Parts: sequence; C-alpha cells; structure tokens
Amino acid sequence: MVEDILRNLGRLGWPWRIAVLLLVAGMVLFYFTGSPYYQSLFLAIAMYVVLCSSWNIISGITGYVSFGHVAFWGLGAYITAVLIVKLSFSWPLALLSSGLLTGVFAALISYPILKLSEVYFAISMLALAETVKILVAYFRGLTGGGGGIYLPPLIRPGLAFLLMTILALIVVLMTYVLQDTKFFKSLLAINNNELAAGSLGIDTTRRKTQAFILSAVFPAMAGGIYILNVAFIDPKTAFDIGMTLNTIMMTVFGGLGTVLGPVIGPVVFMLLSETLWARFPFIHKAILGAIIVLLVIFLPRGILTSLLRGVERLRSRMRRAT
Amino acid sequence: MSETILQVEGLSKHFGGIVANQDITFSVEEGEIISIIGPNGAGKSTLFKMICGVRPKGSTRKPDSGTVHFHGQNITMLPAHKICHLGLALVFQETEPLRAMTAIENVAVGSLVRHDSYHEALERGGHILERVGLSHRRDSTATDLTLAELKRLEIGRALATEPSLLMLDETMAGLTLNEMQEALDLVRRINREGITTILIEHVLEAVMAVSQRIIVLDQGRKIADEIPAAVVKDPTVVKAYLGGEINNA
Repeated sequence: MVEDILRNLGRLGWPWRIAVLLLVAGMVLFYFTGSPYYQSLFLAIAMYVVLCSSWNIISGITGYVSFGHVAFWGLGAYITAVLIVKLSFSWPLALLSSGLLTGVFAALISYPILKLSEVYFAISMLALAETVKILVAYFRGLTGGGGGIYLPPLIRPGLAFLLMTILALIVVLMTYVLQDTKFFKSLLAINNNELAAGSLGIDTTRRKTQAFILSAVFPAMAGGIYILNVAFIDPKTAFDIGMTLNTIMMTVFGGLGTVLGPVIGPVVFMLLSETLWARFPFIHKAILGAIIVLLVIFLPRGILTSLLRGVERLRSRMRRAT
Repeated sequence: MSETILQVEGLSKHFGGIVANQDITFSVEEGEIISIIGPNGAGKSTLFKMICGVRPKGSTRKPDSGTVHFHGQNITMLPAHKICHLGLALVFQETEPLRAMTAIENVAVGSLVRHDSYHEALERGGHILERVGLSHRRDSTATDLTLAELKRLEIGRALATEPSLLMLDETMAGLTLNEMQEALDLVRRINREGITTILIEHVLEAVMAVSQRIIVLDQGRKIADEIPAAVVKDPTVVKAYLGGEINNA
C-alpha cells in the first residue's frame, strides 16, 4: 500500500503541487493579514471541508450513509473542552486527544452499528447523535449540562483559522493519496456490492471499521478547533442535525465519492450563501433553496462528477469527429 | 496420486422444518471437474453457500452439522473472505458485479487478495481479462456488459484471486447455446490450467459434456455420485430427477 501511496503522490502533477504550495502560502499570509470576518468565513468553509471529506469516506466511498456525522464533531468539541477545563490539558494535547478518543469511541460502536446497512444504518447514526447529546446534557458535573461549557480564551481566531485549514488540507491530501490503494478500492468494492467484496477476500467488517474510525477522527478534531475558537459550546449546538444535513448536501452538491467534490461543495455553497446573504438579506435563503433545487435537477451527480462527465463526453465526440 | 482438495462430511442444514441439505458427504480430488446437479429446491445453492462461507446479512447459512475441509483445513465456520484467501473462489448464480466499477477494476479487486499494490493488481487484471476474452471491454462499467460478458467477468474476477478450487453456481443459466458453449470451453481451459472446478448446474447437457463425475441431489439428499454415463442410467436419478432418460448431447 505504501508503494501505491507514493505512486499517487508522484502522480500529483506540477500544476497541483504549485497550487498546494500557493494555498499553504496563502493560508499563512491570510493568517497574518486577513480580516477577522474573512478569517472566520474561511474557517467555517475549512470546517465543512473537513466534515464533508470525512463523511465522504464512510458514506460516499464505502456507501454507508450516515445521518449522525455531527456526533463526532460534537464529541470532539466536548472532549477538548472537558480535558482542558477538568483535567488541565494543554490545548494542543486536548485537541489531539479528542481525535484519538473519538476514534476509540467510533471503534467501540462500529461493531454493532456497521452490522446494519442502508436506511437502518442511517437511522442508527441519527439516534447515536441524539443519544450522545442527551448523555452530554445529563452529565452536568462533567459537561456543564444543557447550559453548556465555557473555555478560557486560548487561541486567537487567526490561529483557529490556520489550524482548521491545515486539518482540511490533511484530510483532502489523505483522501487523494489513498484513492488508488488496496484500502480505498476495498471500500469502493464494499459500496458496490458487499457480498461480492467478501467473496473476493475483502474482510468487509475490518475495512468498514477502519473507514468509520477515519471518518470520525477528523470531525472530532474540527470540533476541538471550533470550541478553542468560540470558547463555548452547548449540546444543542454540538449535536445539531442541521450540521449533518449541511454536510450531506454540500458533499452531494460537490460530487459524492470523489476527492475534490467535498472541497468544491462547501467552497461554492458557502461563498454563494454568504454573497446572497449580503445582497438579499431578507430572501437569501429562498434564492439559495431555488438554486439547490435547480442543481439537483440539472446536476444530480454534483458539480465535479457532472463536469468530469461533460468533459469525457466532449472528448469522445471530438475523437469520433477526427 | 492426486490429493483430496475438498472433503465434505455429513453436512446438514434445516430451515425450520424444511430440509435444505441432509447428511451430504463427498470429496473432490485435485484437478477434477465435478458437477452437482438437482432439480429446483434440491439444496444445491445452500450447499454451495455453506461450503464457500457466503452468509448474506441476516442469514444463517452456517451448517447445522457436518464439516468442510479444504486442503485438509477445517473451513466449516470460516467466513467467505478467509476461505477465499485459502484458495477457494466462487461465482454466484445471480451475477454480483461491482456495479459502478469498470471491468478491469472488478478483476483488479479480485487480485488484491494476492497483491498489496493496486497497480500490480491492475496489471494482473489486464492478463486475466485477456484470459476470459474481455480485454476489449476493459474500461466498460460492469452495468454496461451483457449477461454473457458479466458471467465471464465474474469468472475472471474469481480467477484473479488465484484459486486452486473454483466453484461456479449455475453459470450457464440465461445463456444462449453459443454463449453456453463458449462458457464451457472457458471452464475446460481453466481446468486444464490446473484449477479444480465444481459446477453447480441445472443445464444437464452442459454438465454431461464437461464433468468427470456428477453428484445428484434430490430434496436435500445426495442420491448419486458417479461418472456421467452411469448417472444417466441410475434408476434413482432417472426416477427422482429426470422422469425419463437423459438426452446425452
């Protein structure tokens, strides 16, 4: 698999390498010079890139559509907060621990939950998010209960922006280098036909568990960065189903099961949403809704997939013409 | 002297009060082509799934009693993926392609059992597609293939796992006579390459032409295990299954 990863990295052409370098340079420059408004906008975009890319691993690539992805984000936020407030962890250690502990949590629940598929899995994940929300609200002494938990200000918004964009870059690059490997092809095989995948020697339980853990760790860390930035979280915000729905919509909007779809989706959607909000403050949601409906009708496979298919069709027409 | 590759002993399976398989015992020698035949409901597919460890979600296809040994190792309770690693490959009765993947990707996924690198698996997949006569459909999505091509693809995918025993469940079903002939030629070729083959079939003519030995099931029980010429003359088989003499094509 290492050989495949190195090969995939090598396949990243010079235009892409330059684009990544420019992006990193831009991020650092923006960290020093960007206005707080734009830093917070791009932090939100980067956070959704993390959520969409990680959701894409279990749902877009493996085919287990989760309606409870926010559970990992909320859990990560709470673990970070509790470790800092109750156990006096430093924030970097708390942040890393939130990813690690949420990964352990995902591993523990994966055994029963991944035995389910299709709508049953989706509903179970929805129920999981609600259960975690209730538990967090119940253990008042540890979590602050329904009133939420406060943190002292530990990092500046600029640093939160930088951390979130670095995390987003890591997730996207990881998805890219893994795409033509034994691991990802096994997940795709499970998505296409789990029975056949098992008969071809793929340990479907193990692979699904690995994908599930991977898809849980990154949103947890994004949740951790979020709470370091805003210094407060309550169960209602931490486990809001709206966040899962946004994640699903943006990924599908960008291109389900692709590497760049979960990047394009949040970038286009959030910039569009922000522009509409600025220009049409009273009806921006109605316009956004109409645009989504049109996109679902005309680009049902998402922007990237439709674009790639269009290019492919054009190429084959040109080939036929010559 | 050839070695016993598969040993099935006293295998039984009941679904409530219905007997799917009752005390099935047989063995397969290395290099053989044998067939398991029987009318609908005889328990062929249940037997196939129990041997291969295929257990769709929610099903209870583990045997009630009996054992299956493959290359001397007890595989009775092993899941399909572990059995595949040991060298037993299968082709399902209903085609089960990796739908959105191309022909080469389908075969490469099979190769991943023996190769850690996907790129190596792709290379190997290319050779396999040539072997099963599908190299011209290399980049076609599985859903774009005809039924005959899909069956070839699934045989190719099974071969990609580099098996020593290949089990084919009603592979001829739904094929035209020409396609069936081509499929039979492919099975013979595969067997000549040293892969032991078990056909689970409904098409009697096909079975007669290709098998060295035929096991006949009826109502979950084994009623014959003989060479084809003897099977067609076995009065138990004729009575229980054929209702008359077989037309040995």
